[in-house]
Amino acid sequence: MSDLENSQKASYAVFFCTLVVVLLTLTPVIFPALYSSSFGMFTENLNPFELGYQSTFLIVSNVVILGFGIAYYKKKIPSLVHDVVDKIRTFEIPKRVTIIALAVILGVYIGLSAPELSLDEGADWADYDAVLLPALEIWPFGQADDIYVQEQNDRYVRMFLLDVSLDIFQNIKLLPFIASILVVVFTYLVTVQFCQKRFAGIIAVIVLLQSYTFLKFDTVAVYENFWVLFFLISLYVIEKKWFLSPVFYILAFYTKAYVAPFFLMTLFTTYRSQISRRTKAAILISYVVTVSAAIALVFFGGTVYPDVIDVNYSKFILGFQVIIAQLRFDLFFIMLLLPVTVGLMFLSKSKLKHADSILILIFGTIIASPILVAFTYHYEILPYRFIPLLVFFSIGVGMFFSKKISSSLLKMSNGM
Amino acid sequence: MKNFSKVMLSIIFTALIVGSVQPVLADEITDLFKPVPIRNSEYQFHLQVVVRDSHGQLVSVTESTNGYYVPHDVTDESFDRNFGKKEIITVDDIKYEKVQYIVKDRHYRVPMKLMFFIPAVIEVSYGAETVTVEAFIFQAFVPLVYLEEDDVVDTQWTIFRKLN
Repeated sequence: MSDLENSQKASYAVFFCTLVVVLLTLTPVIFPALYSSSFGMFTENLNPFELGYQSTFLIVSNVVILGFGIAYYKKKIPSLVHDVVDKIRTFEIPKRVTIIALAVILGVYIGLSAPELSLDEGADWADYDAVLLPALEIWPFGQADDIYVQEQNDRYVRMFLLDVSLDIFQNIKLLPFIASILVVVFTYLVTVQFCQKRFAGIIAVIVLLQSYTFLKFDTVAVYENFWVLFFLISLYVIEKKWFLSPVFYILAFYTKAYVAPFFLMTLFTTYRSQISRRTKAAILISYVVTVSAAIALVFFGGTVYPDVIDVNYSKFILGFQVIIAQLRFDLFFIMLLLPVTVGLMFLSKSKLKHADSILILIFGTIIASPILVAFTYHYEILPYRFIPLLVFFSIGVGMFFSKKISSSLLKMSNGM
Repeated sequence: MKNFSKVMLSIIFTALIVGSVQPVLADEITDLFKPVPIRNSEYQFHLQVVVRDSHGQLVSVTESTNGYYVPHDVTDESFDRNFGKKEIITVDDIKYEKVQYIVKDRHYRVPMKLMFFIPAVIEVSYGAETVTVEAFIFQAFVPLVYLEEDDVVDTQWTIFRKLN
């Protein structure tokens, strides 16, 4: 079997898996009580097929967008409209203009978000006084009876950074905010790396910065974005300095253990990257070593994680209904998640290799939360855990403005 | 809302009985009603939170079995007296008493909720004085529930206590 056939099979498998989790995620928008009625307890009061308040919005918007997308792909729309869409997709901006545009966007974002640095973290987030401050008081060597406090101190990198933010900069929100700014910057860089187009990066940044969830948590210390930043960097450096990738992965892991299974997505991204086979093998080996060491430390290093395992399979499906409830104000995401998923499959067929990477990253960042709650009793699904999902969704939107696909389409249309 | 007021008043009544028999120092009150994790305790609960918008359209359904309770006579007496009819059920060969506590059409003036509570207002005698304490006898930790200003929340608690 040729590499091309293998590659296409992998693409379809990735698309199918992602489509399943995306449909599982979006179904509660239409029927919010469906999963609880089937898998929950004490549900006599629920009607499984009662329509949700955003059901009409989701159905109508998806019919329109997918209808337009299919018509565009099949060239069934007026050529004038087709040309306009192609022009937008092929549009590129010079490097200098990109830098200025990015600086303006970041400037506006920082300017609007900076006042949040003066908010009282404890007044807004009860976990600050209840969990984080007690943990910081005993960090790094103290022990606590409260498992939630103890768990904080098993996240060494995070606690170090928060401690620095509080002790040196006298504001615990400062470093988390800087991390969020860097998340935006690396969203741009990863998009440009995957798409080879600056305009796609700008689109991804704008999509991310309109996200309610991202803006809600970008300055929150208790639910900081350090782990998102480290994971993004671990992806970015694969094609630059590959040996740094496991280093940033381990930093992400010791910021938030939730990121542990994400290395599987990193390996797939590596598989899709334009690097030599030898480098790919080296990355694979480095991750096997890193993950093995991390697992050993978790289970034999006296961390709390082995103690919180408790299996409840029904919570897996119930987890999907929680996801969309927590992203209820991210209307752009709800509206476009399915069209973007389907569109990325078409982009993948058009030889944009990293469209598959984004699909697997969307898949992984969705399914991680239901898996987490199905296998532990300690954790609940919280919206800040979907910031990586929103980042990869934003990159996915940016991919529709990628150079490769646009130029090939242009050639096709010119040839016809 | 009616149901809620009834339970609150009943709990105050219960608390008067419990509180008057044991004088407690003020600085010990917090410790006395300190919640502990409900996991592996004599109690278990299941909370269902249903959120609707101002037009009554369904927004979300959230469930939780994770949280805390106050290991004190107040909790036991509330369970016995204030939650209506008890049922006996058997799960994995263990017998439990089961009660339900439902609060309908509640408006919360907060943008989000991470915990839901069953409060008890308790009067504790402290020397010659009487101190009023609000203790959350059951506290459920939920996945974050976002709320808009006009959203309406129904909570349905199903609480179990191991029988002997």
